[in-house]
Amino acid sequence: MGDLSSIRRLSRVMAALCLAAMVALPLLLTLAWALLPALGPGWPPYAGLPIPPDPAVELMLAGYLVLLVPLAVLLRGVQRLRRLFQRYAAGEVFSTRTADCLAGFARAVLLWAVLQPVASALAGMLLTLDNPPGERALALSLGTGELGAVAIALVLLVIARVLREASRLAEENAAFV
Amino acid sequence: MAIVVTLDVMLARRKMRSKELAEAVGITEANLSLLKQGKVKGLRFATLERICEVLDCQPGDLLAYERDPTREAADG
Repeated sequence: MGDLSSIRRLSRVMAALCLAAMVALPLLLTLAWALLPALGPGWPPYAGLPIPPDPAVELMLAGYLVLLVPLAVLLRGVQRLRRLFQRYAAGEVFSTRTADCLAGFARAVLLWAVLQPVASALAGMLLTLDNPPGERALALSLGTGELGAVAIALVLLVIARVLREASRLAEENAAFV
Repeated sequence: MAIVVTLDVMLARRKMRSKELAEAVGITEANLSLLKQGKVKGLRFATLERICEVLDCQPGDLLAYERDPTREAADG
């Protein structure tokens, strides 16, 4: 039972970190987007794009809303991850519910990895929409971050299936006296 | 199930209460109750050994096999 208590302790910390991420991620996006005109073309996701020094507010808002879509998907994933750690913290280790939480997180990360580059490209395009013809840009970039996320999500999806099988065995074992 | 747990018969013969047996064997009363009702999927050899030791009996005194007529009908 010594291992279970350390799992519970660590899971409580992880659940708190997930909550912190759920608060920090939208704040960071909002802050970065608000500071974008000041950062200008040097802002990493849009480095090299001909972003005007003062983009129209409507376009800024539209770009922000577009970027909120992948963020919402990611937040849903982090929420599922938090639920997983909450269940671990409560001592519920092998159950179909925890396996479902892990699968939910993996699916959200997978979807995020697909949506993020598309949303990023759309937001970049919106920012340069007021430029004269020839200076509008649509740049689709696929970073190692997204590819890494896809790989991790696929691994987690398989592990979630293994955990579902493990929970079935654990339930059967619990029915033995 | 075709396997019938006859533990309550043995308990009555030994004039022992379920609570005492559960404590002596080291399982919960709830689990012992499930075992008596045959509502468990399996019985560990370690548990069986402890029950036999405490009740001074053989595994055959605790379990019986009864043919299931519905199953035989299904098998043809």
